[in-house]
Amino acid sequence: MTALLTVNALSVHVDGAGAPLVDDVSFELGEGERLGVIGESGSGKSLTALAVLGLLAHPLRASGSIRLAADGGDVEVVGARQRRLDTVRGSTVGAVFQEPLASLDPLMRIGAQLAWPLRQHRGLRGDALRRAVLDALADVQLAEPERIARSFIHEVSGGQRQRVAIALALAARPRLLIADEPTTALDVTVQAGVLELIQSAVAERGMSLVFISHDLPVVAGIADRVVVMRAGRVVEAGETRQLLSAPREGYTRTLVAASRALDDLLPAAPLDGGRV
Amino acid sequence: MTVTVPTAAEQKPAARRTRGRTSINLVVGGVLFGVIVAVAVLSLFALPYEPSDTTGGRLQPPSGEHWAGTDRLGRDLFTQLMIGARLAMLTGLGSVAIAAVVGVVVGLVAATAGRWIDDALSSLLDIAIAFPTLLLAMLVVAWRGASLDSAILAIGLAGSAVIARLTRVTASRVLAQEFVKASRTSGTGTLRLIRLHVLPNVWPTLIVPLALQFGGAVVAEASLSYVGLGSPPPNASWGRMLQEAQSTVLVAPSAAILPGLLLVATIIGVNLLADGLRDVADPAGRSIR
Ligand SMILES: Nc1ncnc2c1ncn2[C@@H]1O[C@H](COP(=O)(O)OP(=O)(O)OP(=O)(O)O)[C@@H](O)[C@H]1O
Ligand SMILES: [Mg+2]
Repeated sequence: MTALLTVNALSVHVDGAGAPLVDDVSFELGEGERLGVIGESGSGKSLTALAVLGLLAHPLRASGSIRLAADGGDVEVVGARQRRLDTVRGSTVGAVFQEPLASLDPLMRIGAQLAWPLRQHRGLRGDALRRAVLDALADVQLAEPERIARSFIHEVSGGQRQRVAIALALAARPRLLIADEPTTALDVTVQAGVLELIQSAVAERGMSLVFISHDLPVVAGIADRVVVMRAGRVVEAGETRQLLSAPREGYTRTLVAASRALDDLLPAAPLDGGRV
Repeated sequence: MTVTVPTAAEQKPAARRTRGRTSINLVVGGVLFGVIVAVAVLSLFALPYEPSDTTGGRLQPPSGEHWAGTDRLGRDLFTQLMIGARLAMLTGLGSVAIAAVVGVVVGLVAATAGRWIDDALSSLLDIAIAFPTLLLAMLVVAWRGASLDSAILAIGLAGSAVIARLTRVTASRVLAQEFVKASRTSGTGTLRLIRLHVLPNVWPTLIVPLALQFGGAVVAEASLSYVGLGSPPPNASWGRMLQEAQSTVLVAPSAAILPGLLLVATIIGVNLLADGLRDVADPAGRSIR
């Protein structure tokens, strides 16, 4: 299998100060593969994602190597110039973040925001562009794409916002989607729908996925392989089923045990039965 | 998320408190300023007398023929006041345009270029902000000669330092927002990022300071004129008219009072307008609604 993303000995430091926030992280992601990244709050999941996107801002600094297999050859993200990064972002890698309201410009209509990556990466203009915007919104199962396109982000609901953010991430048809806790900020009732959308979009397009979450059951349902992070380090990695059925590392065991305990606590039968 | 300096939560009660007053500010400011703009525009097409017409008799008090009286060469003062309005608008617009263009460009460069450039520009801005406008004006005059253009250039450059710093701070805040990261991840380059997201989100915070600078520029030009750095009558600014009138103020007080009153009216009008604009320009107000 050819690797789409190869992270090797990635560390993230605060400029000139102390202990690393991400410490010697390595993993690989093949074409079409889905990787879950799990770990407690502050374990460095988001920083790892930002590093892969080349979005670490001063005073944060990455070292090590992050290679993306782009169309025009491999790109080394660590230390890359902004221009170089602009060529892989969108077309090779796209991202969805935790807070959908913050992910869109409050002063720009949703349709206009969605139009830019479509123009830039697919060269669309005029009517074709307008249709592509509506299609992109319909693709993420938004009813009334016309109305949504005309709205500002604060004028649509939380679940719709995250769907718009996903549409934005998918617009340039990236081969890798990085989703950093895409459902954490959402109401439980809409979480399942957004998860399903991500899963089906990734499957339909044969994309690779890095899915970051605190939520073990969610990651178990979506990822082929899992990386467990703690205090900036990868403490365990492996195939999802194997890792969950026989967690070797103490921390993973605690996580698994905790989510089992939670399952036991929930009156599973009435809940399932109660749903139509 | 909004990009105004105070958070939306901090701002809401204040906005509610001032909402009633704000509309009055807008109306009064708009009327005062509107009248002066109208006079300035009118002066382009019609003046009661030729500016250099000296047939009016010297230092006449206001009368039916000469509404504001005449100066010591017998030229009509009302005509001069109308021309002064035009020059005041020109001064305000010109220096605000210079301050906006120079300030925004410098601020954006500081916010988006590397740390090294940012630090260097920030130190330069500290110096520029501390630099007295009058001294800067004298330097410009020494370079280009005394004229209204020189005054506008000096005042505009002096104002640009504050605008640059404000732009840098606000632009940095916008650049740190999640939606900028999201836009970046879809491949948006730096220049387009600035055009699509940074400028539209920075503008609202600049409107009020720029409007205030308009008033400040008119006053600054008046002070420069008063020390003799403006063009002489009959195409004089109000400040220069004040200077001309000072030696004869006891004989013909209206020649000093009227330009002074117009100056004050302009400043009050612009400041009230700026106050009123604050709410309109506030992006928080937009997202709350
Ligand atoms: N800009 C920054 N400067 C300094 N430290 C930072 C910065 N951003 C993050 N950190 C620190 O880096 C560590 C890892 O942060 P990160 O956001 O990657 O955690 P996370 O695993 O995504 O947590 P969560 O699940 O809560 O989102 C945290 O201890 C955080 O405080
Ligand atoms: Mg995080």
